[in-house]
Amino acid sequence: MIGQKLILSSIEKRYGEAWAVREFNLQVAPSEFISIVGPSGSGKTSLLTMIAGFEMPSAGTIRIGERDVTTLAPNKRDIGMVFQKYALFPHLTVRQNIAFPLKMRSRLTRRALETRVEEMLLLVQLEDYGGRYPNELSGGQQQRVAVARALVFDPPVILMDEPLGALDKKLREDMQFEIKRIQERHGATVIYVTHDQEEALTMSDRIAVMHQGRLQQVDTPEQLYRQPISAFVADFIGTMNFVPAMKIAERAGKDVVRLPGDTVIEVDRRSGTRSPGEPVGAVLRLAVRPEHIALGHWDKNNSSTLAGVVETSIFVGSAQIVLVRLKDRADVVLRVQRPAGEIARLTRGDLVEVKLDGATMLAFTGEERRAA
Amino acid sequence: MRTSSSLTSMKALPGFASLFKPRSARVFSPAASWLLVMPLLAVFAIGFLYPLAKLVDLSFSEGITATYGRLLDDPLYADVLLTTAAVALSVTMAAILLGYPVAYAMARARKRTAFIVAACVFVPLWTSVLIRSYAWIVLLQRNGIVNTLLIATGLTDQPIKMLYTQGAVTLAMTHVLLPFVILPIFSVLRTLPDDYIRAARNLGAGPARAFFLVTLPLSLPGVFAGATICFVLALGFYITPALVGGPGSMLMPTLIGQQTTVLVDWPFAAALSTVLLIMTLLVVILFRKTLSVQKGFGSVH
Repeated sequence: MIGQKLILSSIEKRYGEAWAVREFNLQVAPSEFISIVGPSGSGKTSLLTMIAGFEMPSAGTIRIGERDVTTLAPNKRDIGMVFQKYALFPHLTVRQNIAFPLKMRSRLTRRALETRVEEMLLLVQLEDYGGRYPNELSGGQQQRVAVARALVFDPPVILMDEPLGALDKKLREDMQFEIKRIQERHGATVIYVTHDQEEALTMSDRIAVMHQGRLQQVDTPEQLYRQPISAFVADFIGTMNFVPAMKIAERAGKDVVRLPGDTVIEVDRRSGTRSPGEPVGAVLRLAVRPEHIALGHWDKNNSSTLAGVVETSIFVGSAQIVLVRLKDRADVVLRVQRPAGEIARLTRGDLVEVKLDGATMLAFTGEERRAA
Repeated sequence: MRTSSSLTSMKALPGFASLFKPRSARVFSPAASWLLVMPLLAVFAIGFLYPLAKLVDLSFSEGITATYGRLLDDPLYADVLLTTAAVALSVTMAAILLGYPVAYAMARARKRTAFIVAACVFVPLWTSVLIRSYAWIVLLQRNGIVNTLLIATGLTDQPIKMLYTQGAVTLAMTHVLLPFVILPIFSVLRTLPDDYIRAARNLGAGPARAFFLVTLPLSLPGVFAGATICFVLALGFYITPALVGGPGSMLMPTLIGQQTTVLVDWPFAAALSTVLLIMTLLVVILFRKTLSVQKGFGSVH
């Protein structure tokens, strides 16, 4: 395998007074596909720039395999990079672009170099386009040339900076599989930066979530979706609803909380999801995925249920998305996902019972601000 | 009544009406655009094309042999023409070599530094050519600053003759024309995305190779544009060579000036002007051809 491990330890980057990255630690295994996600300004691009060597960290070390590359010049790092706007050299043909890194290294004979370039063209399925200039290619084709150019010299680590940002939705989805396929065949370690959490979920072995320059959580997509450690991560990965609640008791490792409308439920307290032991009376935020909320008929005689009013109901093909406003907390609108077809469609103004299951909910402390 | 009748006549001629109808809100109709360009075209025709035709006509007024024949017969004139081309060429080369680093510094430096460098380029540009040429006289004359310095430091005991030489002309003209080379190169370099250089560095090129393989070729359109402007201006430059140059370094514009004002041989002056004009046009065409060969540059930005 070509991939090597990448170790970032205590990386910090400061621009004047402002911190771009703080206390960043991450170990990437050889041939792993790891995504770095976060809202814009979270420091993910700064991090990438430092790994590539265009900027030096203010503190901390970067290691690739056994090499310390922290202060090494970018051209000596042997890192492939796919730029957001591809940065293909406009004055060189596709073939010359792909050959560029090989020529810089001059390890191959001319024959071997030409063969290698043709191999790469074949790998990215552009064998008929070698003689064209970048401006004669479509966005998707340019993207593939950029990938080929980054892979051709077999770098142990490849960085991708939102490489699909400029493509339309359909092409993006095709390219996600394409990049994944090429990476699996090639075996390089990939650091993939994106602000699109869905893209990260689809492609990655692990995802690192960044917020305000810090690493929030790094985990497999499934773990990240099921067990986010903070309200920020919960909100950023997938769609999440937040319901305010008050802790009224503790019982056998579970928190007993009161929801708006005086409904009382028990919520599992899972290790790692938050610092345990909020005092009784603390305000919590309960996080619940849209697919874990059920809607039922409103029974006015049963006062211990959570009531909601349907705002909108949207058919999205595979599912029905219903927005429900809580009757007793008008500022809370829940997004509910129901399998399409099975249930009668709800319409605006319908009164429904919102059924929440404590086992599918996570509790976070109330102070954390919801990220935009 | 008049309005309504003109309206009906417009309706009767739908083709004419559509001529003034814009195809979109952002574009004038063809007829309206022509109308707007008309005043300028008229000024060009009266003030430029007509005198030019008159000039060419004048050069033939005493027969081809009297003017163009004389030009070819006397090696002096061919000499002047060659010298002019040589001076223009060396000025252009010097201006590119000196101007490129300045343009690069302006494009890459931080805001404050770039501003200072830009000021150093622009302030001379806003100063009269006459003043800048006189400044060179002050610097280069027999007991000027440069000679005083050379003697004071003991590098020479006798003042060196610098003024009224071809070297002085080349030097002063390079200085005067430098901004015309710097600006086009600067504007290309400034809009060149950082990512190209970063990509080159990332793919294994050191700073020097990244510059020569990526930055330099991508800035060539600016270099060609600057070179064209500089060369063409240098071919027809009058004031500086007239002031700084001497009789030993006669250039075409000075020669033409002499023919018109001193010798009052207008037909011959016209013939010299026509030759210079053709030479200039040839250079412009040649540069354009070179530029269009550079494939793939259309997408640089």
